[in-house]
Amino acid sequence: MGCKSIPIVQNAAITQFSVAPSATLLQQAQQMGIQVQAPPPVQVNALVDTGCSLTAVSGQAAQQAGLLVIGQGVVQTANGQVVNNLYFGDIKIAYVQNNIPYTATFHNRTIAQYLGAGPVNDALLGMDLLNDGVLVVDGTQNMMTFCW
Amino acid sequence: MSGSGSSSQVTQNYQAFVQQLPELLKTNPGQYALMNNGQIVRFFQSMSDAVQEGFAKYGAGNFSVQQVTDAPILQTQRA
Repeated sequence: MGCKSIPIVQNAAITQFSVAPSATLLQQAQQMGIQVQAPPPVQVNALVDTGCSLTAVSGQAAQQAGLLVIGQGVVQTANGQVVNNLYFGDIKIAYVQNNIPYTATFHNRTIAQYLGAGPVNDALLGMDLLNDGVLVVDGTQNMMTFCW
Repeated sequence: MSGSGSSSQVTQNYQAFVQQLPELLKTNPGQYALMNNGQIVRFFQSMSDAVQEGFAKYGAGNFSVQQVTDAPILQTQRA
């Protein structure tokens, strides 16, 4: 089991993860004889957001990472509904346990395009990923811990 | 991996999908429709299976996958 501690600052928990093309598809391409130059994973700053149903990254990050556009979907924001891109790729979360660095990869995820990207965060860590683990909020320590 | 950016294939497929959605909600709720050239090719139980099939059959950027649902994706920001 991996765990990631995320400090809560000004009522917001911001953490980092990386996005990359699906390793499964890259392997599939290789088996089909297609040479693919995958860019390195792109790190994003993500707000842990229980009001977000699907983990989302900015269009810029998705494009830099070479994520495959897989479809479109209706996104409900505070300002109304818009149709936007859905991507397919891997999400990598780096964490440290017993002073040893690890990276957990969540393979073959659908990732939404984040419409509210700004200087503080360009991604949302949504309920689809949080539902794969346990999120504990310790208000006394201003700390969240996500374990999977 | 190519296929980034909103391709016309993805947009064309989405427009066709939306037109069929009311009927699909009755026949294939929750399933994943693999689409090519505005046509639904096959339904799958998982996004991953549908994508792998589409990638093998049509290549990146030449297919899309739409889940049969009318529930929007929420980005309402609640920490």
